[in-house]
Amino acid sequence: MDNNQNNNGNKASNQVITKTLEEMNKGLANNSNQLVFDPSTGEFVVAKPNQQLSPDATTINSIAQDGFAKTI
Amino acid sequence: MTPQRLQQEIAILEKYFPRKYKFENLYLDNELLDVGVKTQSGKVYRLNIKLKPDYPNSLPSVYVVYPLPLLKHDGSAISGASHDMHTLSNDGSKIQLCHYKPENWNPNHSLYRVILKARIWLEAYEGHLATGNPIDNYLTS
Repeated sequence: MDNNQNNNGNKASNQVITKTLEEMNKGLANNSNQLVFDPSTGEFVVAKPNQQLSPDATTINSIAQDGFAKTI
Repeated sequence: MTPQRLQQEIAILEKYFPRKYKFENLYLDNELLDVGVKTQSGKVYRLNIKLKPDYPNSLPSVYVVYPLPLLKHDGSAISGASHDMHTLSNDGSKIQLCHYKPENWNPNHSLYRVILKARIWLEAYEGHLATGNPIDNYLTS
């Protein structure tokens, strides 16, 4: 197995995470892949469509996309 | 926070962040959750999540308490409220992060989701460190 993979998908490098966040922020995200938090490793992973995920995995996309507050 | 709600929060945190958190000052006005978070790069941060007595009806406040100071790409410290960096304050001992918008908060959200929100902020912060782009470049407003 590739060192960048685990059982729940492709372990994302921090560059991939920030690139994904940037694309979501700019509306350029590929919605076919999901950014997921895997509690068994504490890592974010990129999950492909139809990929079987841990039942404990939490999708990050919706948490990121419901917005962050800003100062007024 | 009520004892019943505390048990619900502990059950979720034990599942997702076992042995990485500690509640302090329970049932007092200065109740808080102290939690360690590791980012994708392996860097470790400590967060204090302060809870008002009416939590979960009110939005908790999230602070980075380690490491400090949090430096920007240019080597200066993050200071005070910043639109571009999504920070609310910095009193020297902690930096308050912007996380949930008040209108998007509801009592069904758990502290687990607040930690994930802060984790996303930290990933964006490390993106800022690597590129110099403001944190706002990575976070949906």
